[in-house]
Amino acid sequence: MGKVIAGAAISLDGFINDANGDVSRLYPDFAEFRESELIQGLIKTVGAVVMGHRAYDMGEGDFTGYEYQVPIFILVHTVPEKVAKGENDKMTFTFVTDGIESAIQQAQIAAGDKDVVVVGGRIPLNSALMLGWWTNFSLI
Amino acid sequence: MPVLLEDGLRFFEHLNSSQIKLEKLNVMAMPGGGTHINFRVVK
Repeated sequence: MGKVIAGAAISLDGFINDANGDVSRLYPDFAEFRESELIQGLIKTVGAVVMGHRAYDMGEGDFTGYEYQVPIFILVHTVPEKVAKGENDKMTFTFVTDGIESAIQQAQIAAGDKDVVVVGGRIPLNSALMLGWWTNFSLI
Repeated sequence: MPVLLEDGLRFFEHLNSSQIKLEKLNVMAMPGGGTHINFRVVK
């Protein structure tokens, strides 16, 4: 079984967004960030993604060309009626309503020997850490 | 990232962090002046 990796871009004083919820100062050049050695390396080793609903909402309904072309497990309270665009035979969306533990377990099965990456805001990341699920985490 | 936001969502909060042990694995320079630090959570 692979690792469970979580990460975030964080300011020096410890915040993952500003008082208005804006993350742009933490990702000054998102295109360049996606091309970085870090992300390109992760793309090769990640076999499934667990995503918080806010991160899913940030996709604004279209995940065409998303960097992780793998099964994605999205934490939601209720399954949305309309699913974002971009699914294909590699990247599929599964909505998980019974919590992060269930989402990580499902993602680990989907990932096989590859790693699971947890993306999203503070809640999925911290609750996963508290549950002892993380094996690795990274800060930028 | 080398910015100070002064307010917002704190990444580490309400964690019983004294029970969490971390081991630094590697450090990598990132675009935009960021520094990526990869940790292993010691079980």
